[in-house]
Formats: sequence, C-alpha cells, structure tokens
Amino acid sequence: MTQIIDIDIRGQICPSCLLLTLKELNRNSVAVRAGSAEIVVTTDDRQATATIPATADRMGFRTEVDQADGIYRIRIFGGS
Amino acid sequence: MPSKKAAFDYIRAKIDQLLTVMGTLPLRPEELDDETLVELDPIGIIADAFQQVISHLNETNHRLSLATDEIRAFFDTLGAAVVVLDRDDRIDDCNRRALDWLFDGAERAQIVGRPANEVCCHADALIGVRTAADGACHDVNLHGQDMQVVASKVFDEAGQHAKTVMLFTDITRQKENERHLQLYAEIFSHVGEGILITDADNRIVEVNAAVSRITGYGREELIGATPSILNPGLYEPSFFEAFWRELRQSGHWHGEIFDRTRDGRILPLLQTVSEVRDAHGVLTHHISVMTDISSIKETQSRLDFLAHHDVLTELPNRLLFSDRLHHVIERAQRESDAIALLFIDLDHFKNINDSLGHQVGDQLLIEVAQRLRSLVRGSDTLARLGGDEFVVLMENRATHAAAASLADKVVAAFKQPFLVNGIDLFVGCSIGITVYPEDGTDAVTLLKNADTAMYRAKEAGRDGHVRYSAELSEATRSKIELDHALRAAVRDGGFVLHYQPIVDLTRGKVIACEALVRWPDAPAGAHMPDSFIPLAEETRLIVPLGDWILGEALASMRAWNASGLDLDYISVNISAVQLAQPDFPDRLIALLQESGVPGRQLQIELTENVLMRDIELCTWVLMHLREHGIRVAIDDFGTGYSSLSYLKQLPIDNLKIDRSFVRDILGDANDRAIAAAVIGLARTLGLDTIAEGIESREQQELLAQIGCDKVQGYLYSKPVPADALAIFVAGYPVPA
Repeated sequence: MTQIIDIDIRGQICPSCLLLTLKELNRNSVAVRAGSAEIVVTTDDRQATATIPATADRMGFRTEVDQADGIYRIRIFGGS
Repeated sequence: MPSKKAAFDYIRAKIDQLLTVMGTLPLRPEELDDETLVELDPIGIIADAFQQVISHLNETNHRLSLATDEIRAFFDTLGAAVVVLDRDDRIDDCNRRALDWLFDGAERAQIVGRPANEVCCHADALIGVRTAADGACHDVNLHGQDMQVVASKVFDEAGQHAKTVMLFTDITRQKENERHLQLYAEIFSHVGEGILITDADNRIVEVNAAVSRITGYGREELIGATPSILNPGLYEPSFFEAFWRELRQSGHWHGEIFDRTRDGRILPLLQTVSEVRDAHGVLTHHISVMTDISSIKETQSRLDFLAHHDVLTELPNRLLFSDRLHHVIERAQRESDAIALLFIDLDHFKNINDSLGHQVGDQLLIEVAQRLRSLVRGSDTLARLGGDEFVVLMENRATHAAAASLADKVVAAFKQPFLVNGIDLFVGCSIGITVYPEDGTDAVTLLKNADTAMYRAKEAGRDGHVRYSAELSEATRSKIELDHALRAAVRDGGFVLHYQPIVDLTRGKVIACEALVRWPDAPAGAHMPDSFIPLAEETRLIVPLGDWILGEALASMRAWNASGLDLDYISVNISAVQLAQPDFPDRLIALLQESGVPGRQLQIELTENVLMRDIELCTWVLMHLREHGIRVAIDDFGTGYSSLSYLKQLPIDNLKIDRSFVRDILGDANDRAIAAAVIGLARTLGLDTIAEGIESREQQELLAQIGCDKVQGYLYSKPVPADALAIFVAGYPVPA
C-alpha cells in the first residue's frame, strides 16, 4: 500500500510551491524512490506544473500532471 | 558591512542561480519573502535536491555504461560484419567480424578515422551501395565470399545525415544452395523421365516437361489435379489396394502400369512411386517417376512375332506350328476329335531358285503362301516349315476325305502359274496326308509320316497327294533315311577321297590320278558313289559335296607337288547339276586359285550325256575353264549319245573309254573294233584316250596294240588314300 503524501498549497504563493515540494520530497526521497510512498501536490499556481516536474525529473523521479477547474495536481512517484 | 537587504538579495540571486543550474525557473519575488527565507532554508533544500540530481546522473551514466558494454559485446560477436562511417566516408566504428572480412584483420584502432578506401580494398566497389544507403539489399562477391550488404543512413536530432551503417552477411552457403537448387531444377525439367510430385492430399503440385510430353496434359491441367486423371479405367480395385499397401509398407512401388493419355491412348509405363516424409515421419509428398516403354513393348511384341513367324511369308513358323500341333492333339485326345495334316512340298522349287536367283525364289514363296492362305479355312492353321515346305493343320472332325478334298484344291490351284517379276512360273506340289489318330498319336509321328507320304507323292510323279500308309515301300523309307544321313554327312564332313592312278605305258610312269569319293560311315552299305551320288544330284546336295571334293582334290595335288611327286594332273568327276549352276566356272576357278595349283594340273570329267544335254552351255563353260588351262575329259565314252559335230566344237583333251568295252575286248571282236575306232577317232580329233577298268595284262597289251597307251584299272591299283597313292607313284614301275 503506497503512502500518499498530500501537499495542498492552494491559495498560497509564498513560500514557493517548488521549494515546499522539494523539502517534502527530500525528506521522503528514499520511500518515494522505493515506491512505498508518493507525493501529490495540489496547487493553483500554474508555473508549478513546469518547475516541479522539471526538477523532480532531474532528480530521477517521475511526475504526472492533472488539471481541473484551475486546480493542478502534480503527482511525484519513483520506480524505474 | 553589507546591509540586511543586500544580503537577502544576494541569497535570492544565488537561489535563482542554483535553480537555473538545476534546469528550472528562478523564483518570482512573491514566492519567497524575507521572513520565510531563513526559516525555510531554501539553499539547504536546493542543496539536497542537487545532490539527488547528481546521484541520478551518476546512476544514469552507470547504466548507460553497462548498456554500452552490452551493445559492444553484442556488436562484436554478431554473425554479421557491421561498419559505421561518418559523413566524410571515414570509418567511425566497426565490429570484430568486419575487421576480419573487410579490413584484412587490422586492429580497430588502426582504421578508425581513416577514409574507407584507404583501409578497405573493396571500398571502391561498394561506393554505390554506400552512397545510396537506402536499406536495399545487394549481393556482392568479395574475394570469393558471397555476401549480402545493406546500407542505411542514420540521422541526428537535427535531421541531418550523421552516419552510414553497413551490414554484411555471409551468404556463401545460401548461394551454394541456390546453385544446387538450380541444378536440380535443370535436371528436373530436362530429364527424359516424367517426374510428378503430389502433396499429402494426393494433389499434383509439380510436374516436369517430360510428364506433359508423355501424358499429353499441359502443366496447368495437371497442377492441382489428382493422378486419377491418368487412370485408364482398366484396373480392378484390387490392383490399387495392392499398390497402396505396398507403398505404405515399404515406402516404394515399382512396376509396369497403363495410363490413359489426354487423347485417350493407352500407354504402357514403367513407374516408381516413393513416399516423402518429414523429420517427424509425417507423410508430406509422393514422387512418381515414369518412363514411356511403349516402344520397348512394340519391339518386344515384334520380336515375339518374329520368333514365331516366318519372316518372308509372315506365316507361323515351325516353332509356332509345333506348339499349335501339340495343343490341338491334346484337345483332340480329350474330346476324341479327328485332325489331319497336309504336308506340302513344292516341286522343282530348287530349280527355280538356282536358275532365276534367290530374289525370285523368295517372291515366289510369298506368292505361294498367299495362294495357300486363300484356299485354307479360317479354322485351319497354315505354316511354313522352312525351305519350300508348307503344312496345313485341319481341326474339328477333319477326315481323310476332307483333307484329300483340300489337297485336290491345292493341286488344282497350283496348275495356274505364279506371276513373279513379270515371269509366269509353273510350280507343282507334292502333298502327304496323315490323319489323327490312325496315322499317329503324337506330333513327331504325324509329321514324320506326312513327310514319308509326301516323298511317295513325289516319287509317284509329283503334282498329287498321297495318304500315308504303313505299306509305303521300304525303298521310300530308306531313301528318306539315306537323304537325311547324306545331308548330315555333307554338313558335318563324313566323306573321304580315294585316288586311282592313271599310267602312261609309253612314258612308263604314273601321269595322273582320278579322285573318287567314298562315304565310310554310310548307312546300309552305301559307301560307294553309285549308292549316294544320284540322290545327291536329285537333292542338289551334290553342289556343296562337289565343292568339297574339288577342294580336297586340289589340296592333295598341292601337297603332292610340294613333296616332289611328279603328276601331270588330278581328275575330278563333275555332275550335270554342278555344271548347271550359273556360278560353277567362277567357283571352280576361285577354288583353283585358292589352292595355288596351276590350271593345267586339274582335269574335270563329264559324261557324254551331260555334255550333249546343253551344248551351248557346255561350250561356254568349258571355253571359260580352258582359259585357265583346265583339262576336260569325256568319261564313260561310248555309253552315251554323242554327236560327232558337237564333239568337234567342244574344247576337250581326253576321251576315257568305258570299262564295258575294255572288259570284253579280248573275247568280243566287235568290242575290239569299236575300241579301235574310238581310238582312231580320238586321234583324228586330236584327243588322247585313256582306257578304264584294265584288269589283265592281256587287256593292256591289246589296247597298246590298237593305240591306247594310257590306262587305269585294278591291274595297277584300286583307288587308295592320298598317302598310299604317293607311295605307289614313287614306287612305279614295280620291277618285274
């Protein structure tokens, strides 16, 4: 059973969506890489749909972006 | 000391720099205020993230490195040669096989970066393939190796032509297989035998040209059909059952079979059918090889016909007739039937054959066969036994009356001449009749008795028929026996020559000898010529016998000459039959020349009657012989009918006074006078005389008185073998 770590940062610009996500991701990086956890970011900041996947990707994670009614969901998960 | 704002601006700038390095966007000012900044530890977060980026990169590199190694290993061990070239036709990379096949075993390091045509001798030959590099396959031969080469272009991200990859596969074995297949295909199509292949459903999948030729069906008509289209409809189902059974059991079937061609002909074929199974033993095909044997069959049946029929007349021959006769007798035995045989011999056929030649004789036989065919019923068998002998076998209650009736018809029919080569030939026939079971119960007896009856018919004057009877004269029977014995003796050599010396009293020496034939093993005491020469003349056996006598006499003469015996000539009796042979002079001269004896050392003796019979022929023959020096004597002079004018014109050397005059010369004055007259006549005509049959000295002296000094008789010597004669001649005269 995969643990889902929710980061809901709707209606907030500061601190940066990217930094908050990275902080959480760093903290749980081992679990996410192992596939036992994944992080789901919910935000209304459109830029985040570019910056988060780009960075997570460099770090060796996979991402998935969903959009509904101006709300974005970015899923970050590991595995090969 | 920087201000707090300046310090925070510095921190923000570095955070942005780091984010940019990480490949993401810098922060917007509102994303991080001064209060949150220190608390959040943004640089710490980014540092952590950065470390993961680096780890990830390292891991990726590692995996890439492993993959590259794998690919390299695969590349090198590939059964094909791979060469990668850059855009300037330089070698970029290649695998180990390529080094072997294309670069002469060089090391990779030696050729990478070098232009292709510098390091590979085949580069120029392949330039076309490289330039096109369109993925098309090309077959090339590089130093004896058959290869297939494919070249393709590799494009970079910008879509530009970056590299060219060439793949070489060795197809030598494949090419060899192709050549073999081609060879087999040639064989298949050109071989004279028809080859037909069916699949597991018995459908024809392949045929060669010979099958079409043999069966008359085109390829299109055969492919897809089953072999049953060739079925002639002649065979019982049991034949096919046996066929399939044997095929299943042994995998093969071989034998003669009849097929029906497209145009309905029945064709005899020699056929072999074989099963083809795959590696698992499953039946996949049948191969059928067929040879048209109709011409062999034709030849066979022609040979068969020839073996049982007379070639000239196409009538059944002795062999076939004999079979038939046996068969008919067996049936007659079972069914108590009666059968009759007519043995037909042509009269004077040999005369015609001798005087007009064999071509005429043969044609005559064909005509005779035709005429006989027309007289004989369908249920009777007519056959030619050989020579001029024919036989008719009558079946189905054949009585003597019926046989005699047929014989009468035949005799009557033969009264009409046969027209051969524009000449009318009259040929009579003598017919002997036997009836089963009275005249014999087996084939041999019936034929033998018919033969005897036929002989009797001949004796009775020919042109008629005689029924066999047990009372037929002993003379006829023994004559037949003698005839057979004589034939055998002529064929196998049962004769000897004895020689009687002829003495010249004046010269006091043996001047010649007369050759006389003896038959030591003759049946019934027929040793002397009088007993068998007449029969030999009748049957024309005298011709081969006469040839033998001449040859033997000349051989003796040659031997005597060689041993120094001094004889003037050897004298040989010649019969009218021999003289009548058209080639007699030529044959005689040939024998003479073969022997090497001079012509004047040979004398031929002819009786008066022979000479007088055909004066022109004799004149011609004797003149011809005279040219070669051959002497001529008239034998038995005084006993025949000579015309003096004829005597004058014939080329003669000697007169031999018959012994009958000599015998009575002492007692009978008339004989004495006649002898004197003959001697005087001879002298006038320029001929010499020899007296035959001298037995006493008184006879000799009297003859000498009246002018005959050449003598022959028992007083001097009876006829003796060659060596005894030589001894006599050497020892003559015997001292008194």
